[in-house]
Amino acid sequence: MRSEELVRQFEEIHRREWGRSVAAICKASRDLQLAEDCVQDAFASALKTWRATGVPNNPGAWIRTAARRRLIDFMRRRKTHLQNDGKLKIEAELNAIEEIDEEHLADRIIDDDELALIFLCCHPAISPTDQVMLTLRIVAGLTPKDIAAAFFADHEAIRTRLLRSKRKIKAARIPASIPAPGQLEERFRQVHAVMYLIFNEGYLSSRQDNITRADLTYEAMRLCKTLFDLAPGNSESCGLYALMLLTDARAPARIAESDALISLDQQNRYLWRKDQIVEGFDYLRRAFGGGVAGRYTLQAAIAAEHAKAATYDRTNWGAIVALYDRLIEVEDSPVYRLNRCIALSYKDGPIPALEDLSLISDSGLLSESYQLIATRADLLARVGRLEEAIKDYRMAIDQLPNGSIKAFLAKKLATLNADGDQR
Amino acid sequence: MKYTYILASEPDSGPEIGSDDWDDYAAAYIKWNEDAAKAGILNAGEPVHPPSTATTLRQVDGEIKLHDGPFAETKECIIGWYLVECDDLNVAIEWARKIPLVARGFGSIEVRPVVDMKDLTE
Repeated sequence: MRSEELVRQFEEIHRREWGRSVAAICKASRDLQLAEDCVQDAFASALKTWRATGVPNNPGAWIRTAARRRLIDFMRRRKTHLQNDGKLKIEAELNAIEEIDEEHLADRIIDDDELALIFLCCHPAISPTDQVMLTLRIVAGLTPKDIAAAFFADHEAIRTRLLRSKRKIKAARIPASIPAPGQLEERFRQVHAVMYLIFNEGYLSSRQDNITRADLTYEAMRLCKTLFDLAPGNSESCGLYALMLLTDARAPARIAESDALISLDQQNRYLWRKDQIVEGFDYLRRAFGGGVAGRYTLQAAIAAEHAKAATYDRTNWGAIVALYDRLIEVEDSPVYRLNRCIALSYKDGPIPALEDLSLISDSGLLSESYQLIATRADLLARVGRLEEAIKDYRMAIDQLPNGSIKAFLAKKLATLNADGDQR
Repeated sequence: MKYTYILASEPDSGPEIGSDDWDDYAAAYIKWNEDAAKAGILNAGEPVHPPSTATTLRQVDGEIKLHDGPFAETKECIIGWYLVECDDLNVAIEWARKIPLVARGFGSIEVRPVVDMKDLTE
């Protein structure tokens, strides 16, 4: 086999089989770090062996068999250093590992192990940032170096964080298990939040030097698809995947050549990825078929309304306002209220929207945020109150560090100033 | 697997001692203790007097000094502890969740795994 072809296949197998393999070995070793090391070794030897033999028919089973062999070797070595109780304990563990037959390692039974591993990485006893790091490392198979690059962080700092989380998991015995039915919904919500965080980190990067980081959006979408395939009963996973597909479909139209952000009303809709939109619609339909629509399904439905509209002006704003109403019923958030207000300004005009906005402002939750001020600036400009609009734009711009959003608002302000001069 | 629950609250956060609410609160604790004992997870546990009764020992320049008060001045103070034995953290959290202190919102519980001396000698 040609070398590049092997590497390509290897990378694909790594993406597909890494999390499943760590899950299967972790179930046997009950030690996440050890499982990770064994699987890592197995992949390293796979690349060497497969150069000579070619890729086996069931590469996942090959990896897991090799990883299990490493685990057994490690335990045997450790056993020789132990006495009495410790020795008995490790012998019992070894017996348990040796009893796991190869069939199991190859079989779809691992689905539940992989799902349990996702729940472990997104356990609420671990901080949200560490949940993100762990999920990317343990489930998605990114190296600490990959993660450091994606988050513009120091490689050593990421490694240390991961180690600390894995130590906590071991010391506090946080189990890799599927939560009890009573906890399931809450725990799914946690997993969804982690995946959405990864997606947004990629899509709406807070970094100025890089507006979109395609690899993180890709990883989030892959993780979400895996989650849905493993647990199709949870329709919110499906809704979240639809949301990611429909949002990411707009990516090619979102960034100008100058790296500036292009807002939805200015985007060239021909650049949107049609195949991804079609797929998004399909998943959205399935999500709505699954019962009560949750926050991600409803946000996906809003994204779908945008995707359906031939132009910004032909958007069905009535439908979007109604969807925001449902979303706010599920989860009241000032950001949703603000977005509903923007939709309302296109449905009923900027004057009722300004009234609505002052209610949001009075609630105090977003009163001084740049999002609220910039929205008010836009509404004021649309009703011709230019001086107030200019003042608001300046205030919003002052709040922001350098970056694409600041540049975007500055451009709006410049347009207003130019309009004012012409009068 | 053993865990300790360290119970903490701000001073005077619970119902007043002697009030009807207090009787109800105390009854809830007794119920939790009985349930936990019946389930076989409860090893030990005691409430402790307020931090104003604490004496802290610390070695300073080779000499043990006594300090009147707790080791750290914090808004929340330790008010008691439990030692439980559960299969894993999920089970430990499920039991902790039902302790009246957090169930009724009067304070917080820190769940800490207990070191198994056997693991240390490995």
